[in-house]
Amino acid sequence: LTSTTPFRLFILGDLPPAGGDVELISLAEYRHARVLSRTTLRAADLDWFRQAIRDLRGFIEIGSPVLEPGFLKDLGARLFELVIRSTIRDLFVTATAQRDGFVPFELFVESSALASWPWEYLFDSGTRMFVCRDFHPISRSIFDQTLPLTTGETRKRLRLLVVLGAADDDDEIDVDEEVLLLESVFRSYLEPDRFEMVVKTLSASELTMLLQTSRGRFDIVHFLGHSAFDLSRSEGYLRLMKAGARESTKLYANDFAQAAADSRIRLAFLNACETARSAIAEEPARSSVAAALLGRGIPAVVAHQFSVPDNGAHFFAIAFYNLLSCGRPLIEAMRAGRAAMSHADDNRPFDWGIPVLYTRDPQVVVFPATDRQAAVETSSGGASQSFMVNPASNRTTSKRQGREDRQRQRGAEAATARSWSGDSAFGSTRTERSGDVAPDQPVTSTPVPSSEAPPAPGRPLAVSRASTVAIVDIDARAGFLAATIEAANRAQSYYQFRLAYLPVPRGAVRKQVEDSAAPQLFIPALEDFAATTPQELKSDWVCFITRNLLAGHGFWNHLAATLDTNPAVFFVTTADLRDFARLAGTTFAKATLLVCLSMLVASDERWDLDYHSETAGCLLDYCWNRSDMIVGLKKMRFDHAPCRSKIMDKEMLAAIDAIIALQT
Amino acid sequence: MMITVELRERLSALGSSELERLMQVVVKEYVERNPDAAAYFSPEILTAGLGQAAADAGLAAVPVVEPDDKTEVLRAIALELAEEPRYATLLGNALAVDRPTRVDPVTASIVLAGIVLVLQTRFEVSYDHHNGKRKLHIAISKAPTSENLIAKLFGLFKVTPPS
Repeated sequence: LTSTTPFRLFILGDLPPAGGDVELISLAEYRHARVLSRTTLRAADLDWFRQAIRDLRGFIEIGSPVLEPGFLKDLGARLFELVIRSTIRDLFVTATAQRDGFVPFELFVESSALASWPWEYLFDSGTRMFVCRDFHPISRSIFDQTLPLTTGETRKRLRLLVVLGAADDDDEIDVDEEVLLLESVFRSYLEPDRFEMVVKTLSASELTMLLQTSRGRFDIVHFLGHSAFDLSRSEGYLRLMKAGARESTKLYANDFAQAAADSRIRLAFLNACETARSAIAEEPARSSVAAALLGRGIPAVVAHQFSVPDNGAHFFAIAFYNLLSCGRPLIEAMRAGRAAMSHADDNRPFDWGIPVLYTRDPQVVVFPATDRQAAVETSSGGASQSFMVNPASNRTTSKRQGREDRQRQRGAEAATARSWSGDSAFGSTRTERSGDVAPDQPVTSTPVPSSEAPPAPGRPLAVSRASTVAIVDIDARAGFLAATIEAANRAQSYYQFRLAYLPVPRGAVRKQVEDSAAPQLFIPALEDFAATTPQELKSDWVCFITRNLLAGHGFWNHLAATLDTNPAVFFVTTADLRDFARLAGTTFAKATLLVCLSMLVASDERWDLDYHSETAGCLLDYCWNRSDMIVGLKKMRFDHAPCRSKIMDKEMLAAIDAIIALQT
Repeated sequence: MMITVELRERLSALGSSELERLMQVVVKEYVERNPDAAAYFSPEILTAGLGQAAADAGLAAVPVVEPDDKTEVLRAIALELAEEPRYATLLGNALAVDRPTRVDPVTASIVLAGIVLVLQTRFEVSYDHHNGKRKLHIAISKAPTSENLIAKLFGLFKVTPPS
């Protein structure tokens, strides 16, 4: 645990169902101080709050009514003034002034009706800050229940169960993308022997049975799928489906929580709608999925109080796990996740308040930091700044295209898969689908990048270790990248590819560059930022992928280009690649990988290679006409003798051939 | 306020999945305002309630079932709802927010629920829980102004209204 002292706020008093004034008592604790304040909530004000919260829910969930930009601050400020006033406010100011980092804000609400209010939007009109977004990340606990003191033992090897509640072809949720992103996050920041990830599609009864029979088997349960709050039962539920079947079943909050009661799960992440919503007339621990789990002994539950947009949910989850896997406390991971939601294309101003953390200890560290994480963090200038995310877009067209690419890849993999037998006891796992690992085996095994300092840019790699290549998706939203990288790493060991996450400065995309109408990524604008990324990412090479064509001083409309000041950094575009790939009869994923490979080969200073004007179907064709690339994509061989003969490293040639031969 | 030309055009251009999403939004909004209704939006209760309403309207033996191809039925329901100012605003706002979420649909019988929503703009709809059974009541009155609506709605099930 960290040593930060939390600010605790208890809200006492219940709301009269028939209306009328009500007296509320706020009790706050910070260090050794405890103060109390009373306030009368007038009937008219109560009506205002109820209507405002209904409007907020309506706006977030269905876009109606349309709210003014200042609405949220108004609601947040009135919530703040209701419960943080007089001596409570004094203590809050003291806590803020004495803070060394964040001061966790723990909230306990007695009334069921008040507990259902969106306290995450508390707005301090004195400092003009949303409490939750700045120095006081809010978490909730259960008011009247004695919760276990333990937050579970910290084990060296963390086990993550990912429960899929939606089918691959679900129009609203990109299941594959989230699974791949989760996997790549853990692989990026944890040693392979420090985590297991098991992915299952389970029916309600299968999940219940698994939880009841797997005491201590899993540390984290991550659910992604559909869920809702059943108003007729005043209880939330998860929608689950049996693997391979279309029928689905509901798993209600209390049934889920009872099944999980003795599971020894340390963290439940319910990345689905309304999983933190509670009933007005029923206590949260009996109505909200998240609070029910907390009430039955799960120490920490991350959930959502409203409908959550799919894209925002991706961003939230990845940023959350990024921080968590770097050894940061839960509450910091929540804060980072909330902030990351604003990166989604379809983000709306209220999205950051949708996630809710239910826990009895917001400062718990789920993944203790290791030297490797610390090194990554230090070199990147701090976790909260560096581990930003860039998941693929959820926009339907992109999602569908991404899905098609992945399905094509799966089909190819299935055709070449080694035999695998038997069904696991419960549902199916991701590894079963890919066919390369026996069912129920953990998804692990990415080799760890070397801890040696990377060589000088573009210099020969004298050591016999893998050449590490970090791939950063700026805005291409290539959802297939994780799977493609995994396939490339499986096929050879000369190059070790990995997906990296970096916040890329905006403003580098320019329109009307010379005679081109297409937007261009102007590389010099990223010079300072990009030049040091190999060191920051501890990689020999860094490949940035963008959807825009590339331009620099004196050139434009390029498909790929290196950074002037560091040839170990290069940029490739996916513009037109989808069409070129289709015309060449290959996949978008494969085409993208080949452009990256082309730049890797061309930038390797050992061989004095350069792009040539001749279009020979070679990796080093200059492609004066961009569509010339189709020739190389069709050919899929690196047999251009003038270029091949210059490469004296047989292992490198073997790796190039293996990557070109990939069926992705 | 009647449905605007712009809203009509937008509804007319929507595809199947967009129409279904839109109707789920409308039904969810209705259920949020009328929590008691949530338990009544199951296929069985909706079918029984609408079947009784059809019989009360003189349309005997109406096959009230969720159609396989919902697109045009949902469009007709949306256009009908949009004649009401309240729903016109709601539909217009909902159309402005098109982003996938992870919320579970309110009901699988979105066509039946949609028809109930249209009917409740003209008739009294009540929910009754008696002896462990839930029933949906739609008080159909045969006013001349309502007969067209009844004919149109139940015509969606390809039933000819009485002459």
